[in-house]
Amino acid sequence: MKHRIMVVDDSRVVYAEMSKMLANSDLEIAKYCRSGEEAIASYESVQPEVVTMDIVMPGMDGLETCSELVMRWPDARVIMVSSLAYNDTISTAAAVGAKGFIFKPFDKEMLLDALQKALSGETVG
Amino acid sequence: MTADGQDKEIAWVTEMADALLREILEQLSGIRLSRRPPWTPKGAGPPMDGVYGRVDGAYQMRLLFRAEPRMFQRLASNMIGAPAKDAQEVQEYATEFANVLCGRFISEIYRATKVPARFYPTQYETYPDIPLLGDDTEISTIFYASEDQEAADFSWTADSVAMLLKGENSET
Repeated sequence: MKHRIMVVDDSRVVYAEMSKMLANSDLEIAKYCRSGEEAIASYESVQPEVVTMDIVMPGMDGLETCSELVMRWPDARVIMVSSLAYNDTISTAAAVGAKGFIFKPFDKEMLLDALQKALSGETVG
Repeated sequence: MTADGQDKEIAWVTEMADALLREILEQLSGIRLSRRPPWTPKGAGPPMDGVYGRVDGAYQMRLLFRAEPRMFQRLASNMIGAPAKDAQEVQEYATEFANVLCGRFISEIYRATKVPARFYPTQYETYPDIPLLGDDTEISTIFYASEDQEAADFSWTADSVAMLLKGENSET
């Protein structure tokens, strides 16, 4: 049985790229959400093992969404995915409960490594 | 001041922006850019679409990457690994490229100044409806040609960042 991932990103490009990268792996995208609001509404029914979360999105941004998810579901494993690659953002992400960070642009190896670490309970990035 | 009289903060941002744009564009799409002189007269050059980003927070900045539509099509197709289905798909890939560029630009500014900022989702604009970056502020622009002779340029509002680098941030 494949591990279930939820991808949260307003850009369909990221979803398309992640789908390609995860093909032929033991991970599958169980749900793609284009907004933080959709992610929160979907989480309970999808029960993903890991969530990848963009930061810059219209409406609720990824940091607010992560905070809300972790508050409602404390076992949620959220990895932030962003090109905002500096300490202030990384610290804020950790403070709101994210388990790690993937910097854009990422490749297949980086994505798989980050997801596997998150699944095994390690901190990513 | 640099040896050619340019403000050294603006020169630093120019070199950083140039290196960043070329690195990200090549990494994402394989497209390689070379710098070229500005168009003469000013405003000449082929019709270009653009991806536009807005930065806010401790400082404000606007960024604009313009390129001939065929370069954006090539960018999308190279990222997809197949021809782009339609104009919307081209715009989505171009927008994602711009998102990465904006985020990394802000990150480099942060490394130099320790001043954070956020950016809004970038937008694709088609010729001739490209938003002006503003005529009330200094604009820096770098001009390019690709290996396929496609024209492009990259502009940003330079005042706020130059002030930050000089240590003149109003937040500190």
